[in-house]
Amino acid sequence: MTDDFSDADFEPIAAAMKKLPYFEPSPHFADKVMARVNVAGAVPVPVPAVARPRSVATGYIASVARREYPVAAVPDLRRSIPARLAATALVASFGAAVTVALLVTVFNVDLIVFLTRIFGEGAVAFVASIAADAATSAGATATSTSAAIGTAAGAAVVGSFVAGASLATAGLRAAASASRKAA
Amino acid sequence: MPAGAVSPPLSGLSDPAVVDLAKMGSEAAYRELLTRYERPVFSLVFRMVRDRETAEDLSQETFIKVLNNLDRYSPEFKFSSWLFKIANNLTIDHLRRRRLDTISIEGAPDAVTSESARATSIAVVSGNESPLEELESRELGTAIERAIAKLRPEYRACIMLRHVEDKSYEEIAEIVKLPLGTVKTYIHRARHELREALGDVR
Repeated sequence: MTDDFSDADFEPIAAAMKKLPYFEPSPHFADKVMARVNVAGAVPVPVPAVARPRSVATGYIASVARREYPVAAVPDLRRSIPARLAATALVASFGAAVTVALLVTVFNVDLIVFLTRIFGEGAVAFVASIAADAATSAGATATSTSAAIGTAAGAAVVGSFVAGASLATAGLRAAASASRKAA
Repeated sequence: MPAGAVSPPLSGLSDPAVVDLAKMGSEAAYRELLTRYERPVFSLVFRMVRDRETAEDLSQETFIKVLNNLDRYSPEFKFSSWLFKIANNLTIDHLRRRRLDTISIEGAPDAVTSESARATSIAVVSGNESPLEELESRELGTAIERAIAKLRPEYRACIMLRHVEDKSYEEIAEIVKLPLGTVKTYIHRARHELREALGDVR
Protein backbone atom coordinates (compact mmCIF):
# COMPACT_ATOMS: atom_id res chain seq x y z
CA MET A 1 0.00 0.00 0.00
CA THR A 2 1.46 3.31 -1.02
CA ASP A 3 0.09 6.78 -0.42
CA ASP A 4 1.16 10.37 -0.03
CA PHE A 5 2.32 9.89 3.53
CA SER A 6 3.96 6.49 3.37
CA ASP A 7 7.65 6.08 3.52
CA ALA A 8 10.04 3.20 3.54
CA ASP A 9 10.35 3.16 7.32
CA PHE A 10 6.66 2.57 7.78
CA GLU A 11 6.21 -0.18 5.19
CA PRO A 12 7.14 -3.03 7.58
CA ILE A 13 4.74 -1.68 10.18
CA ALA A 14 1.98 -1.31 7.60
CA ALA A 15 2.56 -4.89 6.48
CA ALA A 16 2.47 -6.11 10.09
CA MET A 17 -0.72 -4.16 10.75
CA LYS A 18 -2.36 -5.87 7.80
CA LYS A 19 -1.58 -9.18 9.46
CA LEU A 20 -2.96 -8.16 12.82
CA PRO A 21 -5.49 -10.80 13.82
CA TYR A 22 -9.13 -10.15 14.35
CA PHE A 23 -10.40 -10.60 17.85
CA GLU A 24 -13.17 -13.07 18.42
CA PRO A 25 -16.31 -11.87 20.21
CA SER A 26 -18.14 -14.17 22.60
CA PRO A 27 -19.64 -17.36 21.09
CA HIS A 28 -23.23 -16.15 21.35
CA PHE A 29 -22.56 -12.65 20.07
CA ALA A 30 -24.74 -13.03 16.97
CA ASP A 31 -27.59 -14.60 18.92
CA LYS A 32 -27.52 -11.77 21.44
CA VAL A 33 -27.69 -9.25 18.62
CA MET A 34 -30.44 -11.06 16.75
CA ALA A 35 -32.50 -11.25 19.93
CA ARG A 36 -32.75 -7.47 19.80
CA VAL A 37 -33.16 -7.00 16.07
CA ASN A 38 -36.57 -6.58 14.48
CA VAL A 39 -36.32 -8.60 11.32
CA ALA A 40 -38.01 -6.70 8.51
CA GLY A 41 -41.05 -8.42 7.08
CA ALA A 42 -41.59 -10.57 10.13
CA VAL A 43 -45.10 -11.93 10.55
CA PRO A 44 -47.12 -9.09 11.99
CA VAL A 45 -49.33 -9.51 15.01
CA PRO A 46 -52.84 -10.31 13.76
CA VAL A 47 -55.29 -7.51 14.26
CA PRO A 48 -58.96 -8.32 14.88
CA ALA A 49 -61.18 -7.42 11.95
CA VAL A 50 -63.56 -5.40 14.11
CA ALA A 51 -61.86 -3.26 16.68
CA ARG A 52 -63.63 -3.15 20.00
CA PRO A 53 -64.01 0.18 21.71
CA ARG A 54 -61.47 0.57 24.50
CA SER A 55 -62.74 1.45 27.93
CA VAL A 56 -59.44 3.02 29.01
CA ALA A 57 -57.68 5.68 26.98
CA THR A 58 -54.08 4.65 26.28
CA GLY A 59 -53.14 7.13 23.59
CA TYR A 60 -54.13 4.68 20.89
CA ILE A 61 -57.12 5.60 18.77
CA ALA A 62 -58.70 2.63 17.04
CA SER A 63 -60.57 3.18 13.84
CA VAL A 64 -64.13 2.22 14.67
CA ALA A 65 -66.97 2.46 12.16
CA ARG A 66 -69.36 5.24 12.98
CA ARG A 67 -72.76 4.06 14.09
CA GLU A 68 -75.87 5.49 12.40
CA TYR A 69 -78.49 6.30 14.99
CA PRO A 70 -82.18 6.57 13.96
CA VAL A 71 -83.32 10.14 13.94
CA ALA A 72 -86.59 10.70 15.82
CA ALA A 73 -88.97 13.49 14.89
CA VAL A 74 -88.45 16.21 17.44
CA PRO A 75 -91.05 19.01 17.65
CA ASP A 76 -89.60 22.38 16.87
CA LEU A 77 -90.27 24.43 19.95
CA ARG A 78 -88.89 27.59 18.45
CA ARG A 79 -91.47 30.13 17.29
CA SER A 80 -91.39 32.13 14.13
CA ILE A 81 -90.69 35.85 14.30
CA PRO A 82 -94.28 36.92 13.55
CA ALA A 83 -95.55 34.55 16.19
CA ARG A 84 -93.02 35.94 18.67
CA LEU A 85 -94.08 39.50 17.85
CA ALA A 86 -97.74 38.62 18.21
CA ALA A 87 -97.11 36.87 21.52
CA THR A 88 -95.06 39.79 22.76
CA ALA A 89 -97.78 42.27 21.75
CA LEU A 90 -100.43 40.13 23.41
CA VAL A 91 -98.45 39.85 26.63
CA ALA A 92 -97.69 43.58 26.59
CA SER A 93 -101.31 44.46 25.98
CA PHE A 94 -102.48 42.12 28.71
CA GLY A 95 -99.89 43.51 31.08
CA ALA A 96 -100.86 47.10 30.30
CA ALA A 97 -104.51 46.32 30.75
CA VAL A 98 -103.92 44.63 34.08
CA THR A 99 -101.74 47.52 35.20
CA VAL A 100 -104.38 50.05 34.26
CA ALA A 101 -107.07 48.01 35.95
CA LEU A 102 -105.00 47.80 39.10
CA LEU A 103 -104.30 51.51 39.12
CA VAL A 104 -107.93 52.33 38.67
CA THR A 105 -109.47 49.79 41.01
CA VAL A 106 -106.90 49.48 43.78
CA PHE A 107 -105.34 52.92 43.93
CA ASN A 108 -108.40 54.74 42.60
CA VAL A 109 -106.32 56.69 40.13
CA ASP A 110 -107.96 59.06 37.76
CA LEU A 111 -106.90 57.55 34.50
CA ILE A 112 -107.34 60.71 32.51
CA VAL A 113 -105.20 62.71 34.94
CA PHE A 114 -102.59 59.99 34.99
CA LEU A 115 -102.31 59.78 31.21
CA THR A 116 -102.36 63.54 30.93
CA ARG A 117 -99.30 63.74 33.13
CA ILE A 118 -97.57 61.19 31.00
CA PHE A 119 -98.46 62.13 27.46
CA GLY A 120 -99.72 65.73 27.78
CA GLU A 121 -103.18 67.19 27.63
CA GLY A 122 -103.43 67.57 23.85
CA ALA A 123 -102.61 63.96 23.09
CA VAL A 124 -104.93 62.65 25.75
CA ALA A 125 -107.79 64.87 24.59
CA PHE A 126 -107.24 63.67 21.04
CA VAL A 127 -107.15 60.00 22.03
CA ALA A 128 -110.14 60.50 24.34
CA SER A 129 -112.20 62.05 21.60
CA ILE A 130 -111.32 59.25 19.22
CA ALA A 131 -112.11 56.65 21.86
CA ALA A 132 -115.41 58.34 22.64
CA ASP A 133 -116.35 58.41 18.98
CA ALA A 134 -115.32 54.79 18.56
CA ALA A 135 -117.24 53.75 21.65
CA THR A 136 -120.30 55.60 20.56
CA SER A 137 -120.07 54.16 17.07
CA ALA A 138 -119.32 50.64 18.29
CA GLY A 139 -122.05 50.83 20.89
CA ALA A 140 -124.59 51.97 18.35
CA THR A 141 -123.43 49.33 15.89
CA ALA A 142 -123.44 46.61 18.50
CA THR A 143 -126.82 47.65 19.74
CA SER A 144 -128.30 47.76 16.30
CA THR A 145 -126.57 44.53 15.30
CA SER A 146 -127.61 42.66 18.42
CA ALA A 147 -131.05 43.93 17.98
CA ALA A 148 -130.95 42.75 14.43
CA ILE A 149 -129.37 39.33 14.82
CA GLY A 150 -130.00 38.47 18.45
CA THR A 151 -127.74 37.26 21.29
CA ALA A 152 -126.91 33.87 19.81
CA ALA A 153 -125.73 35.39 16.61
CA GLY A 154 -123.58 37.86 18.57
CA ALA A 155 -121.91 35.00 20.36
CA ALA A 156 -121.29 33.38 17.02
CA VAL A 157 -119.66 36.52 15.73
CA VAL A 158 -117.36 36.66 18.74
CA GLY A 159 -116.58 32.97 18.39
CA SER A 160 -115.81 33.32 14.72
CA PHE A 161 -113.52 36.22 15.54
CA VAL A 162 -111.61 34.09 18.04
CA ALA A 163 -111.48 31.17 15.62
CA GLY A 164 -110.23 33.43 12.87
CA ALA A 165 -107.55 34.82 15.11
CA SER A 166 -106.46 31.30 16.06
CA LEU A 167 -106.39 30.17 12.47
CA ALA A 168 -104.42 33.22 11.46
CA THR A 169 -101.83 32.52 14.17
CA ALA A 170 -101.56 28.87 13.16
CA GLY A 171 -101.19 29.89 9.52
CA LEU A 172 -98.43 32.31 10.35
CA ARG A 173 -96.54 29.63 12.33
CA ALA A 174 -96.92 27.10 9.54
CA ALA A 175 -95.62 29.57 6.98
CA ALA A 176 -92.65 30.46 9.17
CA SER A 177 -91.82 26.79 9.75
CA ALA A 178 -92.02 26.05 6.04
CA SER A 179 -89.70 28.94 5.22
CA ARG A 180 -87.12 27.66 7.75
CA LYS A 181 -87.19 24.16 6.32
CA ALA A 182 -86.82 25.54 2.81
CA ALA A 183 -83.77 27.51 3.95
CA MET B 1 -22.84 -18.24 14.86
CA PRO B 2 -20.19 -20.10 12.89
CA ALA B 3 -19.51 -18.95 9.37
CA GLY B 4 -20.33 -22.32 7.88
CA ALA B 5 -23.88 -22.21 9.14
CA VAL B 6 -24.87 -19.63 6.55
CA SER B 7 -26.28 -20.98 3.32
CA PRO B 8 -23.73 -20.91 0.46
CA PRO B 9 -25.68 -18.62 -1.89
CA LEU B 10 -25.68 -15.80 0.69
CA SER B 11 -21.94 -15.96 1.30
CA GLY B 12 -21.31 -15.33 -2.38
CA LEU B 13 -23.49 -12.23 -2.58
CA SER B 14 -22.30 -8.65 -2.32
CA ASP B 15 -23.13 -6.58 0.74
CA PRO B 16 -25.88 -4.55 -0.98
CA ALA B 17 -27.49 -7.77 -2.23
CA VAL B 18 -27.47 -9.26 1.26
CA VAL B 19 -28.87 -6.04 2.66
CA ASP B 20 -31.68 -6.19 0.10
CA LEU B 21 -32.49 -9.73 1.19
CA ALA B 22 -32.47 -8.62 4.81
CA LYS B 23 -34.86 -5.80 3.98
CA MET B 24 -37.16 -8.42 2.47
CA GLY B 25 -37.25 -10.24 5.80
CA SER B 26 -34.56 -12.89 5.44
CA GLU B 27 -33.15 -13.65 8.87
CA ALA B 28 -30.35 -15.59 7.21
CA ALA B 29 -29.30 -12.36 5.49
CA TYR B 30 -29.12 -10.60 8.84
CA ARG B 31 -26.93 -13.39 10.18
CA GLU B 32 -24.75 -13.26 7.08
CA LEU B 33 -24.06 -9.58 7.71
CA LEU B 34 -23.23 -10.43 11.31
CA THR B 35 -20.92 -13.23 10.24
CA ARG B 36 -19.09 -10.98 7.81
CA TYR B 37 -18.51 -8.09 10.15
CA GLU B 38 -18.70 -9.22 13.78
CA ARG B 39 -14.94 -9.78 13.98
CA PRO B 40 -13.81 -6.61 12.15
CA VAL B 41 -16.20 -4.46 14.16
CA PHE B 42 -15.39 -6.12 17.46
CA SER B 43 -11.65 -5.86 16.75
CA LEU B 44 -11.86 -2.19 15.82
CA VAL B 45 -13.87 -1.39 18.92
CA PHE B 46 -11.70 -3.54 21.18
CA ARG B 47 -8.52 -1.87 19.96
CA MET B 48 -10.15 1.45 20.74
CA VAL B 49 -11.47 0.73 24.23
CA ARG B 50 -9.07 -2.07 25.31
CA ASP B 51 -11.79 -3.72 27.39
CA ARG B 52 -13.50 -6.91 26.30
CA GLU B 53 -16.88 -6.41 27.95
CA THR B 54 -17.10 -2.82 26.82
CA ALA B 55 -16.07 -3.78 23.30
CA GLU B 56 -18.68 -6.51 23.25
CA ASP B 57 -21.39 -4.14 24.45
CA LEU B 58 -20.45 -1.43 21.97
CA SER B 59 -20.24 -3.93 19.12
CA GLN B 60 -23.64 -5.34 19.97
CA GLU B 61 -25.05 -1.85 20.14
CA THR B 62 -23.53 -1.11 16.75
CA PHE B 63 -25.08 -4.12 15.06
CA ILE B 64 -28.45 -3.63 16.72
CA LYS B 65 -28.51 -0.03 15.56
CA VAL B 66 -27.45 -0.90 12.03
CA LEU B 67 -29.63 -3.96 11.55
CA ASN B 68 -32.70 -2.22 12.95
CA ASN B 69 -32.18 0.66 10.54
CA LEU B 70 -31.37 -1.10 7.30
CA ASP B 71 -34.06 0.95 5.58
CA ARG B 72 -31.86 4.01 6.05
CA TYR B 73 -28.89 2.39 4.36
CA SER B 74 -28.02 4.09 1.09
CA PRO B 75 -26.43 1.68 -1.41
CA GLU B 76 -24.24 4.45 -2.83
CA PHE B 77 -22.03 4.03 0.24
CA LYS B 78 -20.21 0.89 1.28
CA PHE B 79 -22.12 -1.07 3.88
CA SER B 80 -18.90 -1.65 5.78
CA SER B 81 -18.21 2.09 5.87
CA TRP B 82 -21.66 2.73 7.30
CA LEU B 83 -21.15 -0.02 9.85
CA PHE B 84 -17.71 1.25 10.91
CA LYS B 85 -19.08 4.76 11.09
CA ILE B 86 -21.73 3.72 13.61
CA ALA B 87 -19.16 1.69 15.56
CA ASN B 88 -16.69 4.57 15.61
CA ASN B 89 -19.33 7.07 16.72
CA LEU B 90 -20.46 4.86 19.58
CA THR B 91 -16.88 4.14 20.62
CA ILE B 92 -15.74 7.75 20.53
CA ASP B 93 -18.82 8.77 22.51
CA HIS B 94 -17.97 6.09 25.06
CA LEU B 95 -14.34 7.15 25.32
CA ARG B 96 -15.37 10.74 25.80
CA ARG B 97 -17.58 9.71 28.69
CA ARG B 98 -15.07 7.45 30.31
CA ARG B 99 -11.34 7.18 30.08
CA LEU B 100 -10.25 3.56 30.30
CA ASP B 101 -7.03 1.96 31.42
CA THR B 102 -5.41 -0.18 28.80
CA ILE B 103 -4.81 -3.91 29.13
CA SER B 104 -2.51 -6.09 27.15
CA ILE B 105 -3.79 -8.83 24.87
CA GLU B 106 -1.51 -11.05 26.96
CA GLY B 107 -3.81 -10.49 29.90
CA ALA B 108 -4.62 -7.83 32.45
CA PRO B 109 -1.60 -6.01 33.94
CA ASP B 110 -2.63 -7.05 37.44
CA ALA B 111 -2.82 -10.75 36.55
CA VAL B 112 -0.28 -12.48 38.81
CA THR B 113 -0.84 -16.12 37.86
CA SER B 114 -0.91 -17.85 34.48
CA GLU B 115 -4.54 -18.83 35.06
CA SER B 116 -5.60 -15.27 35.70
CA ALA B 117 -3.58 -14.12 32.69
CA ARG B 118 -5.34 -16.69 30.49
CA ALA B 119 -8.71 -15.72 31.93
CA THR B 120 -8.21 -12.09 30.99
CA SER B 121 -6.59 -12.71 27.63
CA ILE B 122 -8.31 -12.21 24.30
CA ALA B 123 -8.91 -14.98 21.82
CA VAL B 124 -7.46 -14.14 18.44
CA VAL B 125 -8.07 -15.69 15.08
CA SER B 126 -4.71 -17.14 14.05
CA GLY B 127 -3.55 -17.47 10.47
CA ASN B 128 -1.63 -20.29 8.84
CA GLU B 129 1.88 -19.48 10.01
CA SER B 130 4.76 -21.61 11.18
CA PRO B 131 5.48 -21.60 14.91
CA LEU B 132 8.51 -19.31 14.43
CA GLU B 133 6.68 -16.95 12.13
CA GLU B 134 3.76 -16.98 14.50
CA LEU B 135 6.06 -16.14 17.40
CA GLU B 136 7.72 -13.30 15.50
CA SER B 137 4.44 -12.08 14.18
CA ARG B 138 2.94 -12.32 17.63
CA GLU B 139 5.84 -10.36 19.10
CA LEU B 140 5.58 -7.62 16.50
CA GLY B 141 1.82 -7.74 16.63
CA THR B 142 1.83 -7.36 20.39
CA ALA B 143 4.23 -4.43 20.12
CA ILE B 144 2.01 -2.82 17.50
CA GLU B 145 -1.05 -3.38 19.65
CA ARG B 146 0.70 -1.71 22.57
CA ALA B 147 1.83 1.17 20.39
CA ILE B 148 -1.65 1.59 18.92
CA ALA B 149 -3.12 1.58 22.43
CA LYS B 150 -0.98 4.60 23.30
CA LEU B 151 -2.27 6.67 20.38
CA ARG B 152 -5.01 9.23 20.76
CA PRO B 153 -8.39 7.60 20.04
CA GLU B 154 -8.86 9.74 16.92
CA TYR B 155 -5.47 8.63 15.57
CA ARG B 156 -6.21 5.04 16.57
CA ALA B 157 -9.43 4.89 14.58
CA CYS B 158 -7.87 6.45 11.49
CA ILE B 159 -4.69 4.33 11.43
CA MET B 160 -6.61 1.09 11.98
CA LEU B 161 -9.18 1.88 9.33
CA ARG B 162 -6.33 2.68 6.96
CA HIS B 163 -3.96 -0.22 7.60
CA VAL B 164 -6.12 -2.93 9.20
CA GLU B 165 -9.35 -2.44 7.28
CA ASP B 166 -7.64 -1.05 4.16
CA LYS B 167 -10.05 1.87 3.81
CA SER B 168 -9.28 4.81 1.54
CA TYR B 169 -8.75 8.28 2.96
CA GLU B 170 -12.11 9.36 1.60
CA GLU B 171 -13.87 6.45 3.24
CA ILE B 172 -12.11 7.14 6.53
CA ALA B 173 -13.13 10.80 6.37
CA GLU B 174 -16.72 9.67 5.86
CA ILE B 175 -16.54 7.16 8.70
CA VAL B 176 -14.99 9.45 11.30
CA LYS B 177 -16.85 12.55 10.09
CA LEU B 178 -13.69 14.61 9.69
CA PRO B 179 -12.32 16.64 6.78
CA LEU B 180 -10.07 14.75 4.41
CA GLY B 181 -7.08 16.92 5.31
CA THR B 182 -7.59 16.23 9.00
CA VAL B 183 -7.70 12.50 8.34
CA LYS B 184 -4.42 12.64 6.40
CA THR B 185 -2.84 14.63 9.18
CA TYR B 186 -4.04 12.18 11.84
CA ILE B 187 -2.71 9.20 9.89
CA HIS B 188 0.62 10.95 9.29
CA ARG B 189 1.01 11.67 13.02
CA ALA B 190 -0.12 8.18 13.97
CA ARG B 191 2.50 6.66 11.70
CA HIS B 192 5.14 8.92 13.14
CA GLU B 193 4.22 7.89 16.70
CA LEU B 194 4.10 4.21 15.77
CA ARG B 195 7.55 4.44 14.18
CA GLU B 196 8.87 6.06 17.29
CA ALA B 197 7.28 3.44 19.55
CA LEU B 198 8.35 0.46 17.44
CA GLY B 199 11.87 1.58 16.64
CA ASP B 200 13.53 -1.11 18.75
CA VAL B 201 11.18 -3.93 17.78
CA ARG B 202 11.67 -3.69 14.05
